[in-house]
Amino acid sequence: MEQMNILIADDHKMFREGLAELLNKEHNMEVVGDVGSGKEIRELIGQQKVDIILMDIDMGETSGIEMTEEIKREHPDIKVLALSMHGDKSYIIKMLEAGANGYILKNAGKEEMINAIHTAANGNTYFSSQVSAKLLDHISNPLPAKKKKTEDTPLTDREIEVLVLISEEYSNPEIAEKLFISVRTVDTHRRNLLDKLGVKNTAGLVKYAIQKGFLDS
Amino acid sequence: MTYDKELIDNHGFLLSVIEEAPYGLIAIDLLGRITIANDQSLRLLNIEKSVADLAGLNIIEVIGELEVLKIKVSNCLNKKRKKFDVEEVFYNETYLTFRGRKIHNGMIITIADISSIKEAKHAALNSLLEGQEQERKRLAREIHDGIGPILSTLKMNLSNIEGDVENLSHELGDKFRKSYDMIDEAANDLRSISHNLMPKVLSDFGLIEALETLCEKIDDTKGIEVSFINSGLHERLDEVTELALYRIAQELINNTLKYAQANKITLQIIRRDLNIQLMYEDDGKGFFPEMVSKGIGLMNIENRAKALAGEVIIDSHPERGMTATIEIPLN
Repeated sequence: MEQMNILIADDHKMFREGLAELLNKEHNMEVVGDVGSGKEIRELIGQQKVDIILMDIDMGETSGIEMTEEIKREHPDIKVLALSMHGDKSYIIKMLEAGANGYILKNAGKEEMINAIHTAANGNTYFSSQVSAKLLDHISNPLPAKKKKTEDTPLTDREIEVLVLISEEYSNPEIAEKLFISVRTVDTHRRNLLDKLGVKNTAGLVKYAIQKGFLDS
Repeated sequence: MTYDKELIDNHGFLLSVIEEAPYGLIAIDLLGRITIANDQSLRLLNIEKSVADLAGLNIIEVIGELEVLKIKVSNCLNKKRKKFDVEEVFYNETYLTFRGRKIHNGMIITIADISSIKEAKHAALNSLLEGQEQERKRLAREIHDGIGPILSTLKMNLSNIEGDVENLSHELGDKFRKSYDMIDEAANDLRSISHNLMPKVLSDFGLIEALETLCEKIDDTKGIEVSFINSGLHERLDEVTELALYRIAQELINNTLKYAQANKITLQIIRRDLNIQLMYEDDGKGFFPEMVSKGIGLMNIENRAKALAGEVIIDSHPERGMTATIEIPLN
């Protein structure tokens, strides 16, 4: 296999050095630089052929997410593998959206680290073994987070109950009594319904309830 | 003659004591009819009548909106209780404390406006909270920037000698493996401690992502269904508001997990033009909101909301779950 030129970007020098030592032992990998800021990354990729960057998502001053976006825009051939202390979904998704070719936790062992680099270098996407199946599911079917404002915000069971009672012409105090909540809470639900459904008045609420078949039973 | 004069003078004296006492004061007979009331009591209870009009009316009719008080007074009149104390009821924009004591032929009720004491308590708690958050922030940062990277580096260094370990005796190799795995444990513990102290996802990506993460975590680990709905909040809020709403949600969830035996939690953030609303519902065992003395949890919620000129409404009924509505104005 062809030799891979690797750049390590992380703001902790000791960590970089340890990782560099580890990777240099692999016969087809060479760490051509280890840096701790966005500025240094730009400098280095200007001087040197780099195949893959191991990118810390949080380098203090520099955001690894923004840096990844920049590199993917200006050097689309360079692969970026995100390195992180966090397994939180938000970070993983943001990094993938920025164009990263994989995501690995910093405390992954040697095997996993090398495996991840090979996977990314071959143009595939690598996920740390700690990335849950649930998240993979979320990533392959990006849902609510990307929803546009124009789509309906889901109603809660309680809101549907209130909506149905409003449509059946119950007054706020009557609804309050039926649902064992205060009139004030009923009023809040009513306001929220108007807000969430983007309608102006009770007529709009009733229309919506009819359209959705809430009044059929 | 002198005797009579003394009595009349004393009568006037007593009346002025009742009238000028810095408390609301109401005396009732054994049937609950008002015999004496002072102006203070009318003002605190927001009753638009004169003292004279009140005489002879039943106390229960006069305090109609104050359910707790009604129950307590009836208990004394009908069930031979000797006294009651109802602390810190929020009514008519003030915090009131009621005390009732049985007397020879009836009962005397005092009403104290404790709003200023309450305010001082809020202020004290607020600075406590603020100091706490600062300290949490500092610790989280120290873990994230200090101990975290040291552990990652340690692991990396051990990875580097992993190959050489094969040459060691079985026993030493075993020790190496165990130490290696313990680093992972330590790193995982540290990550969750740091997250609880100050969720980084909150400062990095904002309230919605942080609440989503929180709800998912509870949903995954606590055997309770938690759904989160965001209606219309697509921008970042200022740091203080984000943190306050996050902590309020955490506090509400903790309360539910601790006391409510609920199956389901629904958390909503609703962005309006002028304010932001957090609506929280559970289907747990509920309570009478007025009957519950406010624990430190609810106090914290009120404080955080008040610090942002916000409002908290807790609504609940036994066996019917609870709804908390928190509204924070946006400037």
